[in-house]
Amino acid sequence: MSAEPLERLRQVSGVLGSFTCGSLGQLLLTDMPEQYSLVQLESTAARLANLFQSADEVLPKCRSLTLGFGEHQLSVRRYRFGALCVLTTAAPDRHLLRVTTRLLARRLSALG
Amino acid sequence: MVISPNFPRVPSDVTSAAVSQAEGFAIRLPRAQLGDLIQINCLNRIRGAFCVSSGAHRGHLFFEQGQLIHADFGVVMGLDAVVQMLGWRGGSIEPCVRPWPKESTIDMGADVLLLHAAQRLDEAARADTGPEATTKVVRRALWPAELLPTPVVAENEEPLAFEGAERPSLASALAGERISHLQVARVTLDGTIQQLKAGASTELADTAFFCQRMASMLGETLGLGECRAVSLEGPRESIVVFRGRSIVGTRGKTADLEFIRKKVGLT
Repeated sequence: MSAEPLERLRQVSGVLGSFTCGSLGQLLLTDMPEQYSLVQLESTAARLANLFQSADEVLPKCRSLTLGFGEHQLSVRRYRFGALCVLTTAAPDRHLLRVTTRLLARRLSALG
Repeated sequence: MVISPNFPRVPSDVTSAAVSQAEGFAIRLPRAQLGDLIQINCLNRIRGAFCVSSGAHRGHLFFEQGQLIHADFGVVMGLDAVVQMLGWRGGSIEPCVRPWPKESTIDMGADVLLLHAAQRLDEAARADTGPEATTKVVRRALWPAELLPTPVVAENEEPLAFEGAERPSLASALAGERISHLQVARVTLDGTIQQLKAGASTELADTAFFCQRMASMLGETLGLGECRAVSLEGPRESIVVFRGRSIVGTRGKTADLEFIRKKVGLT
């Protein structure tokens, strides 16, 4: 599947890139800056799946994760197709990001 | 705010921080905040009593073994007293000689204490906000009587024992002990559970530790550095994990955790 749908997210102020992963932690699509290798992203996707698995054991219906780093934030939300992960600066345009994410999730769900 | 002297390390058998001969510097920090003092004293494991003054108000803080163990402001004790003092906009903080409390009214580290206090201040500010959205409301410090809870204990119960003339009632002591409905688990950086509050489970502590470590590994893989906070969100309940000197996991209703998410920069 093409990563073209993810490109829309990059139009949102503060978004650095995004990727999707399956429920078992497999990397599906990526639109991340070139500095991130596939190996790094695959490892990241696996760890996110691990985090969700751990969260599921204590928090029923855990649907999203937000990870805060020094100047970056990684937001991950579960959908039917898997999880959409968005890497942003510390202060993205949250309103536009929320709506764009929703639109994108619909499209990705439709694509299967 | 003025702070003096520079909170020198005092031997544990000294019952007051008012040791004029102690080593250290007297400092004046015009823009220092009470929260800074609490963190510095806890970090340096200061043992001593401090008098906090603002206008006609005067409260006291007692530090020991890296924790703020007791606070009083008139009849208000514990966390409620700290919240009152944190709401003051300026004044002075100085070491003082006070009878040492026999029992502590606060049982949490500086990080958790300040978070609880911040929540209380936010709630108080929200409660004071009128229906007019355009009205700017300056935070109003509540009178001590307004903070006292409805007594929940039998009248014949003994009040907590304190040295000195001022013996607070159990009701006011409970006001100080009253804690938030959020579950809080504190874990050391090596995974040892330090504290479980408000019904927090060991499972929450383990999850907090695991998530913080896993997220930090993830951050290092992507060159983002160590993870400072993680939020696990469900439709009704959420967990927020953040790292200070230890790893703290908080669990509660998603809406109730919003203020913590803001404090740790996740929203």
